Amino acid sequence: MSILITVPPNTQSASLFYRVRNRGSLLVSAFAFCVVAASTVLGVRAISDPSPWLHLRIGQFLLDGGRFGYPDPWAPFATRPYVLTEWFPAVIGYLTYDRFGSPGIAWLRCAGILILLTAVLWTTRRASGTTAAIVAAFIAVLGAYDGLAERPQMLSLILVAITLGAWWRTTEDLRPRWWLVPLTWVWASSHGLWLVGIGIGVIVGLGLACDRRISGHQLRRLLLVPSASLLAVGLTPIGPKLLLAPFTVGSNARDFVGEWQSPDIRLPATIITLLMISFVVIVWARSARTPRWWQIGLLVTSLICALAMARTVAIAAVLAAPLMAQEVQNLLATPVTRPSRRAQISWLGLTAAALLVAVPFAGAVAQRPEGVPLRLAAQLQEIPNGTVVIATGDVTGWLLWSAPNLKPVEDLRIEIYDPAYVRQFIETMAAGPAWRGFVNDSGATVALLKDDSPLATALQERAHWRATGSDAGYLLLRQP
Amino acid sequence: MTPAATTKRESARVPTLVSIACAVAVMYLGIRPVSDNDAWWHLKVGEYLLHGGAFIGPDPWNPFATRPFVLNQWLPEITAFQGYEWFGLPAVAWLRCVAILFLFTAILWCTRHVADTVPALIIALAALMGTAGGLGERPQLVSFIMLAVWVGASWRTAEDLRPRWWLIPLTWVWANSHGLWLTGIGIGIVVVLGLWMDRRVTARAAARLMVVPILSLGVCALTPMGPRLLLAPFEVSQIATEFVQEWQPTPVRTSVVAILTLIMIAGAAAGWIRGGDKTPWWKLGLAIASVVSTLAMVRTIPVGAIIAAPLAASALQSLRHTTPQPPGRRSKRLWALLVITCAVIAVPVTAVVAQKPGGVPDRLQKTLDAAPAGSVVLNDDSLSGWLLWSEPQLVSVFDLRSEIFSRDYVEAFRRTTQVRPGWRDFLAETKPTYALLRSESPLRLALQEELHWVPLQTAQGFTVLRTP
Repeated sequence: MSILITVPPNTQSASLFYRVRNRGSLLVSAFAFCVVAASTVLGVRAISDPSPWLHLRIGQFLLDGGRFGYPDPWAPFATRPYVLTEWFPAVIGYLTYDRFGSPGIAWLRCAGILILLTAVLWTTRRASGTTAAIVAAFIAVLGAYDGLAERPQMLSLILVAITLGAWWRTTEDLRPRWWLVPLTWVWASSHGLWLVGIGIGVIVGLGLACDRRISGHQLRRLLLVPSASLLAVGLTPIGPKLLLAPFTVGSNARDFVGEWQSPDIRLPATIITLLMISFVVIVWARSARTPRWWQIGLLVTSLICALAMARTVAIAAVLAAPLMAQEVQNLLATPVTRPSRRAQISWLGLTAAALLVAVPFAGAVAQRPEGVPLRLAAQLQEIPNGTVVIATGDVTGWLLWSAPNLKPVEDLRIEIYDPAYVRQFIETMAAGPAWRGFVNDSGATVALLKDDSPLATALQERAHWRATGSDAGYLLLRQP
Repeated sequence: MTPAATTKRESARVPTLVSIACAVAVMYLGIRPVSDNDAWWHLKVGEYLLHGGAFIGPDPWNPFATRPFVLNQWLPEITAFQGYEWFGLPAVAWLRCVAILFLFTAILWCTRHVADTVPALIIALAALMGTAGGLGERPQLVSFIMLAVWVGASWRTAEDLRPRWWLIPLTWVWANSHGLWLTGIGIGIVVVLGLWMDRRVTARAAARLMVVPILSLGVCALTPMGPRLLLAPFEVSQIATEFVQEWQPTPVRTSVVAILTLIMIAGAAAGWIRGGDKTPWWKLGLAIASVVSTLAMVRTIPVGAIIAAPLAASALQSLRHTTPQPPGRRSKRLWALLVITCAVIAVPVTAVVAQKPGGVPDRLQKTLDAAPAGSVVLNDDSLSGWLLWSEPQLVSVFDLRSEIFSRDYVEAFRRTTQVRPGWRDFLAETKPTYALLRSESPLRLALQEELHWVPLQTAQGFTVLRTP
């Protein structure tokens, strides 16, 4: 809802009005500066996620002319071909790493967070004034924090925000945004969450129809955007099988991967996201206004994302942001103006400055990755080519990257393995009854395991494997 | 309810038939063998107290316990034990069935106040389903009944602004029955604060209403456990939140009962949002309490379901566009008669189905009986209550009352069950000579493969082992 500013007619009042407005605008600028600075600080840190190593390896493999198929080039026990859903950011990531090393990846993550902040702001600013928009956008970034790792899903979050902003604009002028179709093509080449963007389109379209804002004919025209986007997904280099990829990955990941499980609602990011959603529900319930169906649809989607899986909490935060901004604005009851060109340029300038500042900052703090046994890399590389390694799932991405001579029994690409095999692997890691058979059958002669893991204990105490090195909480074990 | 709402008399036949169907379904839900892992140690506590045991003190059974055991659930424990002593296990199963019937009645007391018979019964049944994860033969059933009474009473207070003083002695009984008494007091505070924020009461009137939860808190210090009881919930949670499954955050995606409860709350919220009226703060407070309870811990999903019940019933009633018709004396009598009839029918049925316990390896009992008195048993924690009850001559290294152990000890036990580094040290410290473990567990395998323990018997998924 936008309220037009009216300037008081007499000169004295006008002067007071402009003085107050200038002081307010100074405060808003200072606040924007703090938010960008905080987001930069959040973004610049050492690589600590287990996944980027896998993506770097994929990027390197593709640029070297490698292609995935069956049998898998790296995993001897895979039973399904790997569908390369994230090739675009993998290539970009590798090219950056190749040129700038680990700090390059840390900088990319920082850039991703700042672009996400800007994309969310592009959406929230449409629904509210500057202050409410920045507050909601920053809270959304905090809510999405657990998903802001150096991984392709960052791109998905940015594209969720852009798609949401586009559809928000469609609810105002009822015009389809056809550019969402090629954008979805890029999205589908970057990460598997492209389905969320299509879902947003369908929800908003149907919501507008429920609100009787559009006729059946207009609804069909609007729904052409998500339909054409779906078609575009089938036209990536992966082909139509990409359409089924989210379901094939999900069928395995739902059972075995932590981030596909229900979120821990005691985590700060989850709490922040649920508070955003609760805030909107409470304001709606306390208001005499009846919210539109399309907004209710978005809020319900946000709630489902917040509760369904740990990995979708970040999406929930982005979806809730404009709704929250709108309700904050309603509570403030202050006039809303469209952002001026100067304000837009100022914001972009501030973001660009932050990205520049992040360059030396990343160079200083992100030289050394965390959570991976770097000191064991030399030993691992000396092991004969093709040796089978039994490794903790989280370290397999780094293993594939730093010791491509080795063949892990299982790796982060869980969807390429048979579920029964994954269950056996998990039981083996817990030193359950099948562990000895699994280790023998795999032919593994080397293990890279957490030093306090049940399997490391069993291999040393019961199979007399010997430890030849340790670093970052990992033990390198060799068969006697 | 809008002023345009009209009052319509319900046809008597449909509500009567639905009432009978609900009562029978609830009874059916309650009749099954005793199968809750905790039931056994509660029986043991009941026996201990009836034989002169103290309410607080060093743990009488486990030599590895380093913290005192506070017997804050003594009332249902001695009741269950007395029932067991007179009639055996079927009595415990029957008590559970009756408690579930009472719980349903208490929820119905909440929902029927805001909705006609059929919607009230439907939502009460949904709420009971939401509590399904907590309907074992444990004292927490008393908590759920008491909570429903607190919710119903607080709702009535929100309408007539009169304090319900009888909640104070009721909370005293609750504090002697289970540790969730704090939730009832919390509901009282939420409703009074909400009324004050809604400007329905002055600060002075709010203070008068607040006397009920405050005095309820006060009487909790007057139980046989003394003022220490006030701290008991926090003492238990210190260890339990870290190590006990039911104290972990709710996995919403895989928990049907949590989803059901959230749907109830969402239904209420949808009614408020699309209704166009300003929702009072006290109702929003209850909804927030319900959501937080549902998501916070697996064990508090039932709390969320019970609080959500009148909110959802009210929303369902609003779809009828009529004011709810207060229940007549006849319908109240009919319901009381139904509950009594179901409780009576449950007597012979439980006698048939609940003679033998469920979920415990009772076929291993002879092997365990043969172990010398005082033998230390490395046990699966889920069986510790049963072991304590059925093999009192043996000493478990760990049991379900995790609050009586030190954090380090619990962590060492957990690492041992996972056969992680340090597991041999735990064995050296506790010196077990027997083990009762799941046959498929890594620890059973490690004991046999590495320490050459001898398997004596395997049955019902568990194995008894002995040192070589």
